[in-house]
Amino acid sequence: MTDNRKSFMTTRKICIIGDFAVGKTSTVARVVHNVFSEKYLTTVGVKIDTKELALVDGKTMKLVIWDIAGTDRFSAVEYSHLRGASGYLLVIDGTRRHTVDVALDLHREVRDRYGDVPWVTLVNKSDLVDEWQLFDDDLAALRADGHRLFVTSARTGEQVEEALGALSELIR
Amino acid sequence: MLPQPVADYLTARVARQLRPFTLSVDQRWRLRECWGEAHDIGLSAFEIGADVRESAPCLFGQDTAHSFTLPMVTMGTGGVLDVHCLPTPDGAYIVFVHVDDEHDSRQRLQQTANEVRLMNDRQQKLLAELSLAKEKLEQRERALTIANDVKSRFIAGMSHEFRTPLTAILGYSELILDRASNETDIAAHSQAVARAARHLLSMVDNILDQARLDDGNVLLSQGPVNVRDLVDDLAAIMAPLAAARFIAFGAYVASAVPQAIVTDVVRLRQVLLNLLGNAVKFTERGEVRLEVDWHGGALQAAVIDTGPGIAADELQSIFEEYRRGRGTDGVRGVGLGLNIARRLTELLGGTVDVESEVGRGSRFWVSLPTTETTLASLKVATSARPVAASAASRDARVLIAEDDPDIIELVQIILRRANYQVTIAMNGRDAVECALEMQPDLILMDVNMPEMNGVEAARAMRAGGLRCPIIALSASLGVNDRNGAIEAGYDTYLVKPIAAADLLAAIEHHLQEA
Repeated sequence: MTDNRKSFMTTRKICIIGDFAVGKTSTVARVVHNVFSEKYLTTVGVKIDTKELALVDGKTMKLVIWDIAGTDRFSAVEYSHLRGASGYLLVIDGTRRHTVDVALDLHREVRDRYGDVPWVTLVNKSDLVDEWQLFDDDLAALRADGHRLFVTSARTGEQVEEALGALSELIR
Repeated sequence: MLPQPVADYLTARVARQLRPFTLSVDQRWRLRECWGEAHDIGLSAFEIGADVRESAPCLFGQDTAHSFTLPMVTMGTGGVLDVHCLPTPDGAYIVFVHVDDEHDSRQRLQQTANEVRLMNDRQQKLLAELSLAKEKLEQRERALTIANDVKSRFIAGMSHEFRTPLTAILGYSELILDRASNETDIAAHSQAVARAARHLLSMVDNILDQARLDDGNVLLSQGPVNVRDLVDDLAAIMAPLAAARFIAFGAYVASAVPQAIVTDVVRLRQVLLNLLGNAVKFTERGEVRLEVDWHGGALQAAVIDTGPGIAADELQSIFEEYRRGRGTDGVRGVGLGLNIARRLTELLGGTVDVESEVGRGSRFWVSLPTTETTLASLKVATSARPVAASAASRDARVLIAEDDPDIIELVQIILRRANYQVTIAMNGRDAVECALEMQPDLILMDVNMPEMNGVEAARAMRAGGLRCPIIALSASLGVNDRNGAIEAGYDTYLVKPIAAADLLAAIEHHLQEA
């Protein structure tokens, strides 16, 4: 059964990118293991995990998730990590306004290098209400710019599955 | 170039250190051969002929035809690896080598750098919050300074302005009590006392109006207003005052002005009286005119005088509270009239402005956008107020509930002269007992009394089945106090001081309705 299921299962590589400490690794931990740790441990290089996802039509997709170390600019190393990706999650920290600019720069770099790769934008840390620095106008501006936006929390899991599901539908 | 034994030694040593795991794959990623232990790099065993990407997902999306290195890859529990692809003519070698130590070292450095940056971010945020808090504090300090300044001007003004009419009241009262005064003198002195008291009252009203405007506690009562009647009222009040100062007074209404407009007549009258009062007060010779017109859906009322005029640099500051113009030291008033006039006009939806020339005079004008209506929408005003009870209400029994002996005496005299029978209660509790026992025809009840206040007393009287009219005599102009009294059972709310004629009119009105 496993072999038959695998033969019908699509495998897709996706990357998760953004500035440092925006919650990329936490988001992957939520997606893959449904856990959250308060401890911040910076990612060096890339962490790779896999997740099987049920699609809307009942089929299964295997996602190979590349959690790329936070940066405000890609180097040759990060570009090599992005090679072959079917789509990506672009992550912003809602409590740090400047991570929006970093995300937009990275998004532009991906587009310039690899063309129109499907993406979904996550505005993370929605649980930190008191520290939030992005408001409705900011989110509206991102949506107007073509971003499929999800306001997520890796801590609570809010909207994380929905964001991943949306990306999966775009890259199937 | 190294001697072979040395090269072999170093190769073996490096191999031990890096613990390489090597795959030989074809161009479609199918495994041909492997060297090393898969579990050593945290992967499950590989099958010859199977797609190696199933077991090593980091290879997914890569190309065997091009050499590449994926540095510092973490997959599962196999530590941190560099992944190298060395293409061959018919596939590639994929080499996984451990770089845990280098990774950990780099991670420590990067972690520290990131935490410093995060702390800097937090510090910037805190500094921004502190700066905002400081600005808010400075704003509040400025507001407090202004408030203190206003308070100082208020106290400075009040001391003089209150003492002056009080001096007249006390002085003339002593003269009235002096046996040496004859009837003519007493009449003149009484007039002086009444004038001074009215002036004192108008200052108190101005101050209270100011406080209510500050609290937003002024409710408007919009209704149809006969403009020509209003102007006649104003002329009737101002003409004698102007004549007493030997200045001419005129009031003119343009034909374009509608018969009636919709506004709050009390507040509009107050605005115009303030402007006219100021004009008469400050004009030594010549005239004061009120000109009323209608333009573009707005009432335009101008007060023009031939007074001393106002300097250009004071044209706006004269509207500030407790502000008096230069050269007005000898003139009565606390400097609130223009401020109140402007604020009330703005509340009505209009504007007040001024133009003036020193030595020639001033023109204050009110522009009040409003709607026209007809005289038919006006209720017919009651005619002359009786000063004595009608035949029907003569001998009516009135209960007076009041704790101030002077007020009791005053009201008793007024009512007995009008042929009412009067009973007195000096606190709320006695008032309730007395009312329920004697069932008077009408009750005049103070709101602020000892033992039980008027509102509680009225409530108790109504609960006890009392149906006669209850008229409030209150010192409070507050809207909430008025509403509370009516809700408790009062029928009418009169504010002290009240003219005898107005008091009797209210009593007569309620007795006739009952």
